[in-house]
Amino acid sequence: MKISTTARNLWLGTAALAGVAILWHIAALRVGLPVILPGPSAVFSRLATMICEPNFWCHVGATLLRGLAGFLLSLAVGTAVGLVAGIFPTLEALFRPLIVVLRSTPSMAFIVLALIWFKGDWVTLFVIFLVVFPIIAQNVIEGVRNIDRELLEMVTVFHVGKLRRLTVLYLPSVASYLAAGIAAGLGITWKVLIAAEVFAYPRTGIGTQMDTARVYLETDKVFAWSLVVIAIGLCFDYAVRAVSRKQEETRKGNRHV
Amino acid sequence: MYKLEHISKRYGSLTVLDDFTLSIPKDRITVLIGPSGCGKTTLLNILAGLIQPDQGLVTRDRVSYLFQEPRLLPWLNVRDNVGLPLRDVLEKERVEEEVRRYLSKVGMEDYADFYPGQLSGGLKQRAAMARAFAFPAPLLLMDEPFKSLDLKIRYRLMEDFVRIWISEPRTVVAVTHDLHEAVYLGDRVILLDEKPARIKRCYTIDIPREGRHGSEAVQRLERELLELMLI
Repeated sequence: MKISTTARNLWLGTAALAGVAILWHIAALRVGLPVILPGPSAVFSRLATMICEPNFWCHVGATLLRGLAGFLLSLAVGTAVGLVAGIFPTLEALFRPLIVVLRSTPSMAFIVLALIWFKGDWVTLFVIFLVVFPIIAQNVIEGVRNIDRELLEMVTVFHVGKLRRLTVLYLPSVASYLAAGIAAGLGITWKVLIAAEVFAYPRTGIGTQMDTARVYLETDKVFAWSLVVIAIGLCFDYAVRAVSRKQEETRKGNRHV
Repeated sequence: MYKLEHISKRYGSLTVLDDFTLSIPKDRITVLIGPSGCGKTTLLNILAGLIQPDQGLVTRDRVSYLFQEPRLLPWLNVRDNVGLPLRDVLEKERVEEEVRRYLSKVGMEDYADFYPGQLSGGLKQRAAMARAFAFPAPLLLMDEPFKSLDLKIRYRLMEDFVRIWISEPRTVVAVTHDLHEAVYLGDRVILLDEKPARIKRCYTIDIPREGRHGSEAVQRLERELLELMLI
């Protein structure tokens, strides 16, 4: 029987995860102390009870909201800055060092500074923005730079208006680069957000819950919350991939009529 | 009348055009022919306003352009590609009307909803031809527009081009290094010399357009041009 590549990859992925779970189980048995390393069964049963608690969705919702707010802000500003910097070389010269500096700064530095300067949800918003904005902007700049010169010449000759150029040439050309930026940016959003929540300690949030579990030595809970974050990341990654695949098909003009 | 007067253009140490003057008669097809790299495309791009000359005066109007490649936006269907340059100069209803009219002129009314990726090279160039004619510009520039097509499709497209042009004549400047294309299309064929480009010979062609493919007079002229080009 012929198996498609997608099905085969799914099997391989599942097999790899099962392998990790087996190794984890063996390691947990060897250590023998659930406080240090709880086994997979303990973690999953803890996760099951957590999901049934009414506060669970409250914490997940709070983290999701914070993450999306920070990410969408970075996406909007990053796209706008990327487009103008890509179109006007002088502005690129102005923005590039800033982007490089932001990308090379450890996110812990942003978290510590944010804790000094801000309160509440502003901390996470600030941190996500400084980490994700340069990723988006850099991708968009790269996209603008790779716009087909011949098509640019065509719209110039035909005097296509500036706004129309943006919507019919610039944005569709940049879309695949933007999609890559979105995938990378979203991936990192959840990582820095949890770190920021652990330190900022808002009333609700997955990071807060993880740190509370650490204080009470509930290591299985720490693992369970980590699994929740991984699941959130995977869901968004899947959604972004699905949308960008569809968009790429349209871009290449293979859409059926 | 469109004019290029005393045009000079250099790229670094390479002089492509030096004190070049050319007048282009209205509502006629002027074909510039010459060896590759003789500055034909530079001349065309100066007329299009894509390149500024270092010196000289250009008298021109709004231009339309039929490129060597179709240059269609892959994410827009044929209708939107043809309509794209019209949207800033015509009202919405007029745009749709004009797009329909020119798509039917090039025989592509059934392909309006297709995307460039779904079309053959010939059909894509046909759509580009509809766009070039639909754009309301008195001057139409063409840079070897039939070059990348195979012979049969090329001849058919050339015939269709001439047919549409006869129904609504406008000033055309075409660049090519295909002798038959030059003689078939042109009212005037200008043979150019290499760097810096100079007018080597200028022919006015008064052979009726109906019988140009395979006509003896056309073949004689092609031979003459070929001999001149090889000197």
